[in-house]
Amino acid sequence: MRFDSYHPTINAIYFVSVILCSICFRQPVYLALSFCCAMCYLTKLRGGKGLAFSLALLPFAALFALWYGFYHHFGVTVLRQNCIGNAITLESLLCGLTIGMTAAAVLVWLGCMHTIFTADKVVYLFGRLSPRLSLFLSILLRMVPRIRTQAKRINNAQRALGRGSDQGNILQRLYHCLRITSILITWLIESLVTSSESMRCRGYTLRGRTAFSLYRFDNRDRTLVVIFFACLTVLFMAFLLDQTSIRFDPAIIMTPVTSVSCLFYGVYAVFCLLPMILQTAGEYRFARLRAQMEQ
Amino acid sequence: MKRSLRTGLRFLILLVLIPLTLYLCAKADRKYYLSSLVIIVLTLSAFFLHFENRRPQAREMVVLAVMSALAVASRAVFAAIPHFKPMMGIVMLTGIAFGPEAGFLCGAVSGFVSNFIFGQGPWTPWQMFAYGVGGLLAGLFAQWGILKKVPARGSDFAVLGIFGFLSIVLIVGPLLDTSTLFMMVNTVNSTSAAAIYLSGLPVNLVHGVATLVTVVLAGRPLLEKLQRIQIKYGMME
Repeated sequence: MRFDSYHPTINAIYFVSVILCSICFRQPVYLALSFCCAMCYLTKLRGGKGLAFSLALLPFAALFALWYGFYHHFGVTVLRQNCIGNAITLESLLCGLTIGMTAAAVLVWLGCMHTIFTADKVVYLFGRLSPRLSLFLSILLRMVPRIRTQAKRINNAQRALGRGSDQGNILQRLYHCLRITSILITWLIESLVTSSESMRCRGYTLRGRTAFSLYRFDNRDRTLVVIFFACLTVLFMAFLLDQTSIRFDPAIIMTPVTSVSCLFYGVYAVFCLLPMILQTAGEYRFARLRAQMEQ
Repeated sequence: MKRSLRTGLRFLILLVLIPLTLYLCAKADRKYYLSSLVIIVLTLSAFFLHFENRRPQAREMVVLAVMSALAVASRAVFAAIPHFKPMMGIVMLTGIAFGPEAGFLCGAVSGFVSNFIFGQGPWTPWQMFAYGVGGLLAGLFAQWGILKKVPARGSDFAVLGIFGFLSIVLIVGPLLDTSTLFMMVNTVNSTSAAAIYLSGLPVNLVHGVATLVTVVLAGRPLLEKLQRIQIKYGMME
């Protein structure tokens, strides 16, 4: 019941909108919500590695804030002078921190997207736009693991001759690596030529060719689309009411927080957490059903 | 279409229409993605005219795509050394093996694709054109028999290396400098032009040396491979 069991279009809509929101909504509450939800989701998807990746981004955001504050001098609250006598201001530091955190949040979301949005989904979505483009894309994406396997094979064969990439002194090794690359290029060109010939023989240019896919847009997907767009509409209202923006120059200016803004925060949190909620609910239901069967 | 007419049309596209696009690009501000695409389409049409009555087959495009990928990869690998770009060497070898149009296409596509790594900008169409011209020249010289299809003797390598170096320093490099001239200088006159071309000379010399080293070292293995493919599958003769 992971989020990737839904239709690829849904995944695409979700990730595009959530990344756009993370970029556009500079107000600290929204930014913190986006980053925390993304961090939770990545942890859910990848375990400790995901958490470590997200936390490792925080010091970089802080470093960027320091660098930004050191080079930009707008704002009215002067904290101190730097070594060449320019003012370091609170506003520029916070502005740098906002930019750094935005970048960090986007990176964490991209990490989630990388796990959910696999190559076959990319190929499927492109296939709806242009079948030929998606064919080339799928060949390209398949090429990388194929090249790696073939390089390993060539290296093994060369090692049997005493010409492996790890045999001999440094100069000889360099020469052996170049040799392997040369063999690999010959193989690559010929295999691509052969595969393009065989594609032609199987009629990939003929009319009326359809691409097989397992995906079906069912009622569960429709429900989710409705929920997404309800959330996005509320968030758009927040955007129109200027709730999501913040200014740093000359002073920190935000629209004051009212009870309605709490509603917006809640909707944004639900929107960001939605894939994780769906996954957790699904896992819970499956565990309960499994327990019932065992009784 | 008659053969001579087709040849004329090909060179009209490559040497008149594409510079015209560049000129319009310099006039219209920052339409560089559009002009890059126009150049790619023009180059492709010149490449298609090269085939008598048939469309180019997928296998021919595939070989050129691999060569472009190789060129882009070589530029990315040596990115740490400033201005040392072996890319033109590989483009030239493609031109020598498959003819002027294929060389132009390979150069233009490599310029466009490699800028996804190094950054797109108003210079992209110019780079595409300059790199394309380098491939085109190599193809022409090979057709005239000055450059050997597969170099065997020392003199062949010498000619190949000198050609690579001179074509970069005298033609490709100045073309790239022209784009700098149009982008950086407000009034184009002889003084500003001389300043730009002279300041571009050291960069072009490093680029030329990179090309020389590439064509001499990679010339034989790559050209042998490409000729093998040509003979084995009978393509782009």
